[in-house]
Amino acid sequence: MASQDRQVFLQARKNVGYFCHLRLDEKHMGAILVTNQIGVPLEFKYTEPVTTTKLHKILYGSALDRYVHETVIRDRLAHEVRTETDYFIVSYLDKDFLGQIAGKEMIALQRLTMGSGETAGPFTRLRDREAIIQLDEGPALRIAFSTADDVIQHNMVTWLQEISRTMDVLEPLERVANALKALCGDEKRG
Amino acid sequence: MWRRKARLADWLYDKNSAGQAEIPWLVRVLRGPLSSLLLRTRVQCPPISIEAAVREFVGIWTRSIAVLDGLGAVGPAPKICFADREIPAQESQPAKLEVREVHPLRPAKTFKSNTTFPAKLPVREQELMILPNIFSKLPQFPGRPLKSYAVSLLNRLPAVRGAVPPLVSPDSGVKSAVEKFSRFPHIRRSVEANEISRREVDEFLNEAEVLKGIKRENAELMAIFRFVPVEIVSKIRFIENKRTILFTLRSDTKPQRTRVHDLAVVRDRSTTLSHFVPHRTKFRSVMLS
Repeated sequence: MASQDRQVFLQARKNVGYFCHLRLDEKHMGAILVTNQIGVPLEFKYTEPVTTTKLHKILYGSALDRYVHETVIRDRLAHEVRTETDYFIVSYLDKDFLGQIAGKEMIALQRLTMGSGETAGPFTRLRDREAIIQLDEGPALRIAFSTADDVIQHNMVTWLQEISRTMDVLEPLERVANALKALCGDEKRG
Repeated sequence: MWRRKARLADWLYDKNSAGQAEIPWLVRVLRGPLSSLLLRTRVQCPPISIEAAVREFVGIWTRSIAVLDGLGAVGPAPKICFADREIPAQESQPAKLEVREVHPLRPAKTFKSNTTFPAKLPVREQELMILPNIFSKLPQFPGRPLKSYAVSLLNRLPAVRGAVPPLVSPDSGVKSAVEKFSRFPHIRRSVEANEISRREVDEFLNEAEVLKGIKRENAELMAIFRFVPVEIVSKIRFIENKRTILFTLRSDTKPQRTRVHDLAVVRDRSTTLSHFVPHRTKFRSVMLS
């Protein structure tokens, strides 16, 4: 046990970043959460709801979603992040909007439910930027990377394996979404 | 308009009229591109002088035009060249067209030799108003100021000044709410049944017997959860139908390190109570930021 503790001490402290974009009707909200290795929040910032109008839809056309998602919400939040983290995790539903947050790459994750007796390989590439990995101590995950660089992708997977030994890597995303809904309700009332 | 043209043509072909006879060129002209002109002609003999005036001009006429034919016998050279110049539309005054030169376009026609011109041909003067009122005017809409609609969603999110701590930043837009967010419960879902080995079940039942005094024959393993920081949990709740636990963490202490344990929920059939049973040896130590 003592040797295990010592190993942990030697490991660098790893913070985990999360980005969540929530859309309720025409309202868009976003939040960034940085946790420690067990999911305790260190920094949490969110935007006020941004409402898109008909005029916005007409003027921006099909680019509106991307503009709101990336420029209005994500870049704005990225500008405010103060806590250092290695990568940012987002929901797999947002895999089309991957990029960088404050210079850090993003990973979109989705839990894969395997049938009994089925196991995913340690790393199964699907496309240039997509793969399935089997966590050492957890479920199989479908991953979309923000970069096609093999080296960075490998580092991301290693990082994921490491943090998945001490926390459920997907759980904070759910917490952020719930928090945003609650905060949005607060703003309506307040 | 075509009636006026026809009437003019009839007049020109009228044998009894004074201006008459051998001037089909004028008919062609009037049916042709010059039909929009108000043409006034005067023919005198001898000497012949030709005057042409334009009062209405449609469009801008910049090309020289030869218009005469059939006057070879009465004049030296029946061609009229209009000056190349722009004539503004909507000019109400007669345009000052300058006849620079007159020369034949084709071999001059001759009248019969026995034709004698009177000393002075009767001159018929007629204003031919074909297209009297054509205006060229740019449509002008009532002047209204133009509005520039700035579509910037970014403006709605002004920058935040100052440090992080306040729950709501003084400048709205991006808000910081770490403390508020810390109160949201952590969620853990149970490990899938097919991922739990028989050995692990036995281990947890042993732990339940040792820690909680639940006899093995009465113990029922409900769910297993990973990575629960049992040392800093303040409240914990098991939602049986979702096989989920919700827990919050203590906010009064901020340890530099802690342990995350595997945790089981074991029900005692004799009392129907559920117990949280952390595994004493299956844990990981974690350095906290």
